[in-house]
Amino acid sequence: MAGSSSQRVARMLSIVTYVHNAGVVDLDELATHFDVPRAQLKKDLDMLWCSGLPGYGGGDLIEVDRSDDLVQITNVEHMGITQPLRLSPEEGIALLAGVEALAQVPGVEDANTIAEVREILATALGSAAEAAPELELELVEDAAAIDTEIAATVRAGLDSGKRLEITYVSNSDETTTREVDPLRIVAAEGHSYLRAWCYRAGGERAFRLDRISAVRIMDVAAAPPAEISPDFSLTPQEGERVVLEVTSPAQWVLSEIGAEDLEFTDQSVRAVVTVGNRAWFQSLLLSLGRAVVRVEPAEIQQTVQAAARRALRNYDVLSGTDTLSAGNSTTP
Amino acid sequence: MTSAAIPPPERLLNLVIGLASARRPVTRAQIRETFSGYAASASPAAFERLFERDKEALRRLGIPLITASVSTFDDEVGYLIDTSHYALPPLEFTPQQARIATLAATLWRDSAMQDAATRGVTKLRAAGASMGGLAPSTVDINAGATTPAFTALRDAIRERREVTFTYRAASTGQESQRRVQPWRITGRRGTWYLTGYDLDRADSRLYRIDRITGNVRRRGKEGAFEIPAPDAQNARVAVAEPITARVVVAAGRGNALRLRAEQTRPVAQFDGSAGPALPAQLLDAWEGADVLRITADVTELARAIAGLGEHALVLEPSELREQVIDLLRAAGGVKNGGQ
Repeated sequence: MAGSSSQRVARMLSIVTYVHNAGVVDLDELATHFDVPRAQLKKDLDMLWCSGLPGYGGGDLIEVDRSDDLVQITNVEHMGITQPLRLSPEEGIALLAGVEALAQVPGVEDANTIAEVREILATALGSAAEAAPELELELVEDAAAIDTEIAATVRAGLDSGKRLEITYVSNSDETTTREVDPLRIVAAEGHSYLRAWCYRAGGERAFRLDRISAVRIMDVAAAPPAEISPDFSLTPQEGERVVLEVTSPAQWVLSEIGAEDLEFTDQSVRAVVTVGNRAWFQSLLLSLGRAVVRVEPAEIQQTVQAAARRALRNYDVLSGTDTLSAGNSTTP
Repeated sequence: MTSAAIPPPERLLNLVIGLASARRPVTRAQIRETFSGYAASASPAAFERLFERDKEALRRLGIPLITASVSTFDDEVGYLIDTSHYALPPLEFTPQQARIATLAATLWRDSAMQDAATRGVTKLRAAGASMGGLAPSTVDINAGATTPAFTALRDAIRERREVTFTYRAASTGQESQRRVQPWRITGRRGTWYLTGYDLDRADSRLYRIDRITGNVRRRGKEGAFEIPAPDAQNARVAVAEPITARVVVAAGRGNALRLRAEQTRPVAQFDGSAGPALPAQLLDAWEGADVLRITADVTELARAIAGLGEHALVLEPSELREQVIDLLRAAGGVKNGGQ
C-alpha cells in the first residue's frame, strides 16, 4: 500500500519536473515516457492540479493545462520541485544490482552499454555506491559455459526478427537440429534460455543457451504462429505424474524441476513431478544418489537401480585392469 | 477543504511542496493545521502516527528531510526539505542506456524491491532518460519472489541494525534462535541468502532466507555496526576449486557433457601408438567412444556423469571417480557404510 503510494508521489514529482523543463508535452508522449496508462496519467495530472502551497487558494496551486492533449505545467518555480529528485539508497541499489546482474548474462545486452549505465548510476548515487553492496543478484551460474559467439548470434536473430537454425542438446541428452522463431531470452533457475517457437516440436519451447552447440541466422523472417504465451513454464506441463521424495537438504531439486504439491516431513520432502521424458527423469535419479528417498511408481526406481549397477560394473572392469584406479571400488 | 477524502499520495505531495518551499522550519502544529490532509486527524496521537509514517515515506523516496530549531529563543523544532541535496546530479542517457536501466528495474517485478526499482527509473525519466521509441527489451529476467523476512532484513541492513530470528538448519532440520548483524542479501537461482555476522557463534554465516521461520525482529540502535568489504565477508556461497577430469563417453552419448569438453579424442587413439595408453579391455568395451577432458566443479561434474549411467566412465581424478561411484551405489541400492 505505502509502496504504491510512494511510487505515485515519485511519478507526480517526476512529471512536474519533466513537463516544466520541456515546456509542452503531448499527453500520449508523456504516458509513453513514464510508462503509465493514459487514464492513470490523467488522474495524476488532476491530483497535481489540486496540490500546492498551504493555503491552497487559486495562486497557491500548481497550474496544469491540458487543452488539446498538450500538457503544460506552470506556477511551480517557487515550490522547490522543478529539479529531478535524487535516488534514495534503496532505489539506487535496486537499479545498480539489477544492472550488475544483467552484465552476467552473456550476449543478452551490449556489455559496453551495461558498463556505461553502471557508471551513470554510480555517479547518481555518489557515496552510497561506494559502500559494500547490500544486495547482489547472481542470475546465471552457467555464464562461463555459454559460447559468447552463439549468444551474440541468437541475440542478432532476435533483434533482426529472423528465423534461426539451432543444434541443440535436450535435457534427455539428444542432439537435434531445428528451425525456431526466437521470441525472447530469459534467465531462470540459474540458466539463460532462448524462448522460441520450435517448428520441430510444433510449439513454444525454451532452449538453454549453454546447450546450443551451433546456430545460424536463416534468410527467413521469423513468423511465429502464436504470440508468446504469458503462462509459459520451463518445466513440462504434460506427461506422467510421478511421486518423488527427497531428503530435506536436496529440496532445491524439486524447485529446479518444477515439482508441485510439496509435503514436508522432518527429514524429507515429497512432491509430484510431471515427467515428460523418462530418460531425463532416470538420469536425474542417477545423479541424485542418496538424496532420493522414494519414487512412485516403484518400477522407475527398479530401472534406475539396474542402470546404476551396470555402470558400477564398468568401474569393476576398470579397477581390475587399470592401475590408475588404485582399487577403490568393491563389487556391488 | 482538507477532509478525510484527501488520498495519501496527495497528502505526501503537498507535504513535499510545503516543506521544500518553506523558508523557515515548519512545526508539527503548523503542518497539522495548515497542510492538506492532516486536519482530519481525529486526535493529536492519530496525527503523530500519520506524520511519522509520512516522514518514513519521504525518507524512502530519497527526500532530504531535516529538522531545525524554529528560532534561537525556542527549542521547538520544525521540518524542512534541504533543497541543496534534493536533486539528482546532472545525468544523460542514450535510448540504449535508458533501456538497460529500465530492464534492470524489471528484474525486481515479483520482489519487495519492485517499488524502489520502479521509483528509481521514474526519477531517471524525470531527468530525461528516454527510450526514444526503442522497443522494450526482448529479455525476460526475474529476480524471484521475496518474503516478509527479505523486506525486514533489507531494512535492517540499510539501518545497520541487529536482527533476531528463528532459523531451521538444513543439515539437521533443528530450529534455533539467531542474533545476527546483517551484511548483505544475495539472490541466487530465485533463492535469497543473507550473509551476516552471527553474534552467538562469533563468526560470519550464510543463511537461506526461506529457512527463517516466523518474524525477523530488529533490535538495538541504528548504525550499530559496520559492514565489511565483500571479500572480507568470508561466508559467501562456497565455490569449490574446479578440477580437470578425463571421462570416457560412449558414442552418441553425453552430448551435454561433450559441449563443455576442452578436448575430445576417440578412445582408439589411446592404443599406445602415440602417447598414453588405456587398457586393452577398456578399448574393446568402449569402441567408438571418446575421451573428454573437462574442467568443472567436482560435485556438479559427478552428478552429470552419474546421470549418464553406464554410458560414461571416469578415468581420473580418483576424487571424481569416487564421488560418481558413491552416487551410483546409492542409486543402485548398494549398501555400504555410508547408509
